[in-house]
This record gives sequence, structure tokens and C-alpha cells, in this order.
Amino acid sequence: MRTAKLPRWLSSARSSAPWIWAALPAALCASSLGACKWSEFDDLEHETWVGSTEKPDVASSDYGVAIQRGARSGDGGTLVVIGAGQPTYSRLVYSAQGDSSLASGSLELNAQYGIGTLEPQPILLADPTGDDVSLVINSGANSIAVLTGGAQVNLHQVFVTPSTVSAATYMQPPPRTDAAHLGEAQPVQPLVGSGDLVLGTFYANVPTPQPTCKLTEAAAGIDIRALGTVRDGAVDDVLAWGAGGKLYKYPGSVFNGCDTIQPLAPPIDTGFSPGPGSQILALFGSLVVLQGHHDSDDDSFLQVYDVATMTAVGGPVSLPKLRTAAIFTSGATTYVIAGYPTAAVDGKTSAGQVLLFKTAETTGLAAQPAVTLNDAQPESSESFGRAVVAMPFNGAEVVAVAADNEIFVYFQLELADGTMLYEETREGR
Amino acid sequence: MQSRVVFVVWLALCALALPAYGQPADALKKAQTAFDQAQLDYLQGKYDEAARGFQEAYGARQFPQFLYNAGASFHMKGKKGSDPAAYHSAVDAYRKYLAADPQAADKDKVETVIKVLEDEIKRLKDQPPVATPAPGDPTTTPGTATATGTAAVTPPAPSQEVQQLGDVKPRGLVVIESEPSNATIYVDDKRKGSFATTPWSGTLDGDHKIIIEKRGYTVIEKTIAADPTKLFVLFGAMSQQSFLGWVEITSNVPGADIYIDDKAIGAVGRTPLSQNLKPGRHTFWISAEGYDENKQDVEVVANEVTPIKAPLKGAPVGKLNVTGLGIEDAMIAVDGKVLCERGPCLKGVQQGEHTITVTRPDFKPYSRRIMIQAKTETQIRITLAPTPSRGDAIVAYGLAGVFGGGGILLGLQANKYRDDLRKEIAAGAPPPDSNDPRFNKGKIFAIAADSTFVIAGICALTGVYYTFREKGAPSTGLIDVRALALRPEIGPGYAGLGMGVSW
Repeated sequence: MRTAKLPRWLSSARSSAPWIWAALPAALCASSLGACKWSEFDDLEHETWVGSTEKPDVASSDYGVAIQRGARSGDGGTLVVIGAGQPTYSRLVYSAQGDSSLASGSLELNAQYGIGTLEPQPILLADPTGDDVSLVINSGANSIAVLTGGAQVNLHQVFVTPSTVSAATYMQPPPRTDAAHLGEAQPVQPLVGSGDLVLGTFYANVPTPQPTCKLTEAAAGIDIRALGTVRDGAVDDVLAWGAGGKLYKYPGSVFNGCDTIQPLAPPIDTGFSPGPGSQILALFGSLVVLQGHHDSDDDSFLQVYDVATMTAVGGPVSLPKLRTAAIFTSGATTYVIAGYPTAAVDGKTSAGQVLLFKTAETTGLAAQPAVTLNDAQPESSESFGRAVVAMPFNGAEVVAVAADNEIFVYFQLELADGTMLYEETREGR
Repeated sequence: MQSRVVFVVWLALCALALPAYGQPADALKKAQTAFDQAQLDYLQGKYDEAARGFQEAYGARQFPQFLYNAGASFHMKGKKGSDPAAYHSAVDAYRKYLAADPQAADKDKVETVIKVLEDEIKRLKDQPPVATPAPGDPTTTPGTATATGTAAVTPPAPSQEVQQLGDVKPRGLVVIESEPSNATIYVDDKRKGSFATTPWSGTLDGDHKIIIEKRGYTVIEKTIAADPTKLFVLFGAMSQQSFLGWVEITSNVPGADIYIDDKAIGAVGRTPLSQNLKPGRHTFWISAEGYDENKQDVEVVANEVTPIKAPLKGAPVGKLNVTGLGIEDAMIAVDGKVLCERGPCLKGVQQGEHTITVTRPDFKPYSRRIMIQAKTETQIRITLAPTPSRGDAIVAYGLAGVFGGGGILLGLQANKYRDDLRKEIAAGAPPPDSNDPRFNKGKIFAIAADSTFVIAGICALTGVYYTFREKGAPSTGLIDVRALALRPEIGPGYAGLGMGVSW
């Protein structure tokens, strides 16, 4: 067999062991110069302003079906996250630097409260006057569970048959009217809607029987799909969006119960029949935003109304696939965070996206979103935006978005026009 | 042709040359005629006529060989008749011959002959001839002179010494002349050095190439077939060429090889050397074994003498003899310089320590540092071992290439992730999140690339190790040192020092 010829210099260098060992470190040095620095990715990861937290060690298989802001004060921020599959109530605590961790005391709702199933879009409300949140759930056995609290929750039940949860809202109720506690002032508490009834949640000394009130229009009960409030003096009036598409305003006395009650003013026909999961969100003053959608046909409705005059403000935004919304306030400007979790992104079905619409007192919602958010690496069925919220963080508000088993927090946000909605909110950046 | 002597007139004793040089030519012709006749007379036993003919030839041209031939004729006459007078004439002619050519190569031999003949003359004088009786005369005895004169006188037989000298014959003669005279004569090859200068006469046997050269004249080259019984005359009429330059190359080392302008054509002569050369710049190399080569660039000017002195510096040398199976395909180098393009190699090497390297394609090189001693022959019998396959090294290099290529691809992918992320973070639409899979993918690709580079480096180093490691039996050499001895040698045509080997 013919052997490979070596250059003469190699032949002469053969058996020069020192030469080889001198070449060894040289080769290693050369390799290190050409090597990739994987620490660059750590640096880049540190540079990104979107914090992403994947499902922590909780029992739920579908983490993040609902999110709500936790405590509003202090450094960092807290996010209450509801998981489905195995229903859980847990809190993600964000440090002032933006690092997230699962707070202790996560609740397994089935084991602790006998709640085995959640609605597709569970109602998770934030107490406008405190750090509490309330999860309103059909707990079966003719009862609706209202889990209220922060680090610890307390179970309150309202009893109704059937125990469908149609809507809920925090409200400032009027003083009690039951004989045992007549005239006692009440704190801000959830009002739960079920069918055409509303039920006030009493934290202590629950009246017996528990009061209910049927919301009617011309003696006919309305099928409640969303509840909201608008302040009327010291107490709130109750807003109800019926399945027929009309927006009603009732007195806050409904909290204390009644047989039936007529609207305070003629309702507004929004022209959109809301489906389950629709919302009435207080914007500012007497302005509210109605978020309505149909799961069946992806029709959506987003419109500002002045409930003082019961008139629409501006035009609606009818982009399909809307599922949820929240209010974000930046100084004097208010935005509506709208989640479209089934929207296709980069060809990925149900990857989901979130749009921020700027609002104005006179013109309502801007026709075009101020910014569109989606996962930079979208995946099919990611459901980005299936829950949205403005989370207090380091004294400001940041946008938090829930996706399938992943929570995104935007610690800095730049609008499409290049202006900053808010600068970096994390410390040490 | 009746004449047994060839008469050659070089360059046709050309018409141009005849008028100018008619007198010498006539004398030469006269000598030639006398030489021819004398040869005939000698062959017919007319020794007196032959001797006179040779003397007549000598009278025309004083070539000492004619005197020798005259002596030879008298010698044979004396021998045939035990004639003291003839012997005396022979001795006289021989003595004239030695007087005319004191440096004669056969001087000793001729002096011996003279001694023998003088003894023979004395012996013959002391021993009178013996009369041979007439047929039927019983009173006479052989060898005894009779008083009546009826018996023939029988000369005594030549002495044993004379008999041992054998018959002497006239010698042929080669005459080389030129016009102008005093030209340098080279025989066969200029590298042998100058032979004589014109005019020259003497004996040459066999075929030879005669080169006649003189400064400023054309070089004459002629091949002759010299006959020992004939007179061969080579006359060169040299035409003047003033456009040539004349170089005189000398060195402290006689016999050093001289190369001019192109070493590839070989040595043109040996020191000392004088010859014509075209004007212009020429390169001269003068070298001798055991000496450093002397190189000079010299401007040769037309019609002028350009002396070139080449002092050679050298050291004592020993012989290096490299042999072995397959050595004919091997190259032998000493101290990194090629000594022999291919073996076997027998060359002088300066005394001292040297590194001998023998290389042959597809074989392991042999390298050894050995001491070469003066006046010794160091013989190395090489056994070259075949170069083993470097397949393992090639495989290692291949793997290094594969891993290196893979590392590059992985690194490029990692860089792509990095650049995309950097770009998207800067653009912010949409901004990557902290759990963006590209962070981990890029990191994994970067680590994989680095790992692959490390593996490639290890493979490459392994390949280097496999390349250089000794594998299989090495090439070997059996070293044998022999002493070289110089001894005087004398031969028919030479005398000098010969070299023998003993161990």
C-alpha cells in the first residue's frame, strides 16, 4: 500500500516531541479565540425587557387561565395566577429586579375547596380599594364560591340555583338593610351575577336568607353577561350587560337584595350580544369599556360608553378573536389592553396577540392599536393574551400577559410610533 | 603505398602556410624521406645504410629519436656480426641520443644498453674470432683461424647479456609542431592538464586527441592514430584571433577542476590551465576534493592575458562510502547539503563530525551523526525501512476536519441566534422575552460548537502525534571505518601515489 508522503519539514520534525507539546497550547489558544462565547446569551437574556415565567411547580396542567394583580404597594410586584386542569391559586412574586418566583402557599382548589372545575375564563377580580382579589367560581351544590384575599384567601359562598356564574364585579354597596344590621356600612365587596339574579357577597353576618335581586326590564329578567359599576355619590350603581346586547344601569341597592328591579334609565342597545366572559371595565369618571365576544364565531366588540349619559363614546373596535381586556393607566392616559389569544401570528394558529388601544374622553377608543404584543417566537396554540392585566410594579404599572403555561411581564414598553409607553421599571437595569 | 611512414601535414600544409614556413617544411620533408629509406634499409638488414639514413634525418631535423634509431641500427649490426665497431657506433649514437634528450623517458634503459654493449665490445676484443674450416678440411676445428686462410672466420656469439636485450627496432615518432611555436599541447582531454609545448616529438601509441592551443590563436584539435613504426607529423598552422582573451588559471592545488560559466557541462580542465576565451564576463569555479570551492567572476578582455589565481582552502578529508539495498533511489546529504543525488555515494568529506542523512521516497530517512577521520574510508551500509502507513493520522485529521466543520456550522447557528436576538432586542417589535427559546438554543449551539472545536483540536493533535510518532522499525546503517594508505606506484606511463584500502 502506498503511504502518504510527508513534507520534508514534517519529516525532519518527526519525533520532535517538544514541538508537539508546544503546539498543544497553541492549538488550544487558537481554539479559544475562535470559540463561541455562550455567556453572550446570558448577557442578551439580561438585556431583554420582557420577563417570561413558565409554569412553576404547581399542580395545574393549564397554568395562567386567569391573572390579576396582587399587592399594589411595595417593591416589585405580585401577580395572582389561576391554573386549570388541577385548579390552583398561586402567586408569582416579582422582585424589584424583575426576577420572578412562586410565592409559598399556593392553593389546590379541588383539595382545599372542593372546586374541581373552572370556567374557561374564570372571573378573577381585583379589589379597587385594597390588595385583595376575588375568584368567583361555580362551586356546585347550588353555591358560588368567592375566594377573597391575597396571600391567604377566605371562602365566601353565595347560594343560588342553578349556580351558574354569569358575571361579577367589585362594588361599593349601600349600608345594609337587613333588620339585624340595618344601616351598617359595608366595604367594597363582590357582586355576583347568575342568570338574571345578582347576589351580594357578605363577608360577615350573612343575612338569612341570603338576599338576591332580579334584574329586569319591563318585568322580564335580563340574562346577565357582564357586570360593572359606576360611582353614584357614596355608593356604586350597577351596570349590567345583557345577552340581548343592552347595557343597563341599576341602583346599588341590588347588593342588599330585592324581588325585581327596573333600570335607572333606559338601557343602551350596544348592538352586540355578549357571550360568557364579557366584561364591563371602569375607565375613568363615568366612562366604561365594554368587552364582548362570542366563542362560537370569534365576533368581538370593544366600545367606550358614558354611563352617565348612557351614550357611546367613539366607535367600536371590532377586531375578531377578542377574549379579554384590562385597563392600563399611564399618567393621564389610559389604554385598554385587549387580548386576542386565538389570533394567528406568523402563520401559527392561536399563537395569540395583545393590542393596546389608547382611549380618550371624547373619542373613546383609538381605531388602531398603539402597540401589538406577541411572543417573539410564537407557537401554535400558545394562546398569548388569554388573560391580561396591569400589574403594579416598583410603583408603576406594567403589562402582564398570560399564555399557555407562561406569564409574560413587560418591564418596559415601546409603542409602535417609537415612543416609550413606559421606561425600564426594573431596578439595576 | 611504398612508404611505411605516414607523413601528415596538418591543415594541408596549406598553400597559405607554405610560402611563409617553407624552410622548416623542407627540412621536415628531407628528414621524412631519410627516415622512410632508413626504415626500409633496416628491415632489409642494411644496418649501415639504415643508420646513415637516420643520421641524415637527424641532420635535417634534430629529433633525438632519430639518433636512437641510428643507435638501434648499429646495435643490430653489431649483434648480427658481433662487430665491436658496430657496437661502438651504437654506443656513440645512444650517447648522442641521451645528450640530445637528457630527460628521455627511457634514459635508464638506454644507459643499461650502453653498459651492456660496452661490455660486449670489451669481451669481443679479448676474444678473437674463430676460423671456420672449409668443407673437407679436417685440420681445422670450428672457431679456429687457419694459417692458410682456407677456413672462414666465425664471429663469436653475442653474450648472454646482449641476447637478453633482445632485438632493438627503430622507433616510430610523433612530431607535433605548430606555427607559431610554443603552443600548449593537450592529449585526449584538457582536464588531464597540459602535455607539452610545440615543437614536440616523442612516442605515442594508439589513438589520441591532440589539442593545440596558444594565446590569441585558434584552437586546433586533431585525432591521430600513432604507429610505433612510423613517423607521424602533426603540424598546426594556427591563425591569429585577436578578438579572444587569454586566461591563465592557477591555484595552490594543482589538478583542481575548473568549471567555466556552467558547472553542468563539467570541468573544462585542471589547474594550471591557460586557454583562449571569448571576451566578456565569465564565472570560474575552481574546486578540488577536500577544499572549499573558489568562485570568481572575471571580465576577460580581448587580446589580453587575464590571470586567475584561485587559492583553495581546505582541510584533510576522509572518504564517505554510502551503500545499501535500494541506495540507487536514495539521496545522501551531509549536514543538510546534498552530497549525492542518488547512491551509491563515494565522496570525500572534510574531517570532522557530520550529520549523514539518507532519504528515499516512501522509506524512513536514516540520519546519524558520525565522525569522519582523515585518510579513512567510512562505509555506511544503509538498510532503509519502509515508511509505515499514516492511515491513522489521516483518519484523525479527517475527524478533526469533520468536527471542525461541524463546529463552524454550530458556531454560525449560534451566532445567528445571537445576532437575531440582539437585533430584536434593539428593535423591540416584538421584543424577545427572557424565556425565548433562542437564548437556550443559542447557548446550546455555542457550547456544542466549542465542544466540537475542542474535539476537533484533540483529533488534530492526535493526528499530529500519529504523524510524527515513530512507527515500525527504524532505518539502520552499519558503519565500517577503514584506513586509507598511500603508496608509491610506477607504471609504464605514469608514476605517483596510489591509494589502497586495508581494514
